[in-house]
Amino acid sequence: MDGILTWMRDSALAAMIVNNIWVFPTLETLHFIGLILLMGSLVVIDLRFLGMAPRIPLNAVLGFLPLSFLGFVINLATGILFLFSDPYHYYENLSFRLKMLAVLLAGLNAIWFKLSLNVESLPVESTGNPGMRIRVIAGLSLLLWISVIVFGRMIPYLK
Amino acid sequence: MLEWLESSALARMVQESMWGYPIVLSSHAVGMAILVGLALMINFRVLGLAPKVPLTALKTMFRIAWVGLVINVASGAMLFVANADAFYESTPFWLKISLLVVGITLLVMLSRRIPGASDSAQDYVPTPQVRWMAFLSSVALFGVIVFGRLIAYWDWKDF
Repeated sequence: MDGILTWMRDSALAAMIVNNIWVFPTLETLHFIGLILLMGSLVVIDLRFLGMAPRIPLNAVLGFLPLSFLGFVINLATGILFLFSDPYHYYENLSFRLKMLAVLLAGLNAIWFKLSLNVESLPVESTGNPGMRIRVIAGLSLLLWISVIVFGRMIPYLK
Repeated sequence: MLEWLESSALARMVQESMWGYPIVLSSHAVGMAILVGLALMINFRVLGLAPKVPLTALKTMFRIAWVGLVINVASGAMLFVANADAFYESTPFWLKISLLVVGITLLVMLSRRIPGASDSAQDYVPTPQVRWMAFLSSVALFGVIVFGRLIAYWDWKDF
């Protein structure tokens, strides 16, 4: 691990981020915009699968999913650049580790969601509400992504 | 006035308790994700994304967006009183507040133009004017995020 962290810290990429004062605030702003796209689309989808706005067909609300992927890619890219700027700080930070754990669990939860949709063969064309298992997954998705935001914001404070 | 705010019991709580400031900051980030995230998704739908989602049903989600707004006005007021003179003199802070007022006004106008649950099977088709409201409120809310982030950098010595 030490080898990777040292390589990241001494890379030209790290020097570029640290030495230009406008790069870090620009990356932070992009990270917030990615967060908005990821969370906004997931909140709509999860609330629908929890039972809100039952007149929206379940397959129609999945039309917001491309924005979740777009937001995730923006935040993965900007997040990796943050790591390069100060690798030891993030690696050793408790809140950062909890955030990465929450991202991992949210990813597994998304896979569970996909598998459950296949298994339950939801009447996706219809309106109305899905079964209890899908509702639990949707609720977990909201909780996990909110904890990702909270642990991210706590990085400077919870070391 | 600003000094009185900064010495108030509420400001003291945010300034002095170890977890006060990070908890309020985290709430502000979660509220932002809910408010701006949902507002953008509704706006994107008005502009043509996910066309199979009925706008008259999606409109219900404005209620959750307003919950995000309440969280952020409350947490924002707490952040303001904790550091009132620095915020009062910050240019990006006033740009942020101005754009927030513009963005929310446009969103309220837009939400009033979309009819609620109706008996007719036909979905509401947004007029060109409503599409402009969706576009301009999205731009204003992006601006709120950009200037919010810049508060910490513009006159960085104050924070």
